[in-house]
Amino acid sequence: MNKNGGVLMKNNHFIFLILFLLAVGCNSHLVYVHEADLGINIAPINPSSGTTKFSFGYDTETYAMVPKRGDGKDAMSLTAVSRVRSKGLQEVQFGHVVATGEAAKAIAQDPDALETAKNNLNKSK
Amino acid sequence: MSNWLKVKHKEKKYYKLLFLLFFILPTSCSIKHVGIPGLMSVEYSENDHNYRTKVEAWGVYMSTRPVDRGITFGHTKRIYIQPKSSYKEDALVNMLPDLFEENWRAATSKIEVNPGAIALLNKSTGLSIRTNRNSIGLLLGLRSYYLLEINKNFSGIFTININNE
Repeated sequence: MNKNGGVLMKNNHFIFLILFLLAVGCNSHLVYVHEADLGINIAPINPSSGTTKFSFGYDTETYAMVPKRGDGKDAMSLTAVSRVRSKGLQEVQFGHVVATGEAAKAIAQDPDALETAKNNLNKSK
Repeated sequence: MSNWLKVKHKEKKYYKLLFLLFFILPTSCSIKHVGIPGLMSVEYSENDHNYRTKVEAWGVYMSTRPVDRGITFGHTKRIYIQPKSSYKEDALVNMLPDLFEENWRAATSKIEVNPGAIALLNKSTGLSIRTNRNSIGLLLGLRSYYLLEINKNFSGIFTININNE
């Protein structure tokens, strides 16, 4: 590769890094994800190191991203009761009761409220 | 044309596409769903505590929402659920919504939602390009995707019972 080509490749990596940061941004959200793919999937994982994920066939992932604060404190209070029913790609059902802030503290300290949340999820279709 | 110029020309086209996806889409946030008229249906409904948007599209579908910004060629079905902003968290602590009786009904007017929380269920087939804040990439095939996103400043209760029927 000539010198100009090398500079262009470096610029490409830089542009991808900027675009990735613009799109993803600093995460101020709690995120729960369940994904299942069948086919060809290409996704950058860490553009700064040039790592890219490539999958062919069936791939499934379940993960959560939790915001944090730098001063050692929790970013948020959260109480959650979850239920996931899944049969492959065709049938997926999610049930969540998520409480944040003062509601989270109140529910977490109330066994009856937690039991109600659990029962509501269990009896839902 | 030399090989070097051909490569440069191709890269110009590539950058045009990237500019479209990253700069035009975010600035057109007022348009949340773009599809082919007649091949896309959007349904709005509500229950006592949530607001739901169901989208089904064939052909081309583009979303400008930050949670699922991107474009799909093929078939896509998406369900968005957001809590209504009219609910007070204090009232809900002692009365958690019963998910068994969701009672979805058609929404007749625009409802104010709390933007701090959203649940999304996406099922798509075909070619999809994702350029949103949670995921970037390209998929050719079938995709089933569920996302629950809560802003760290959101305060309240969010209940979801969602499936891809």
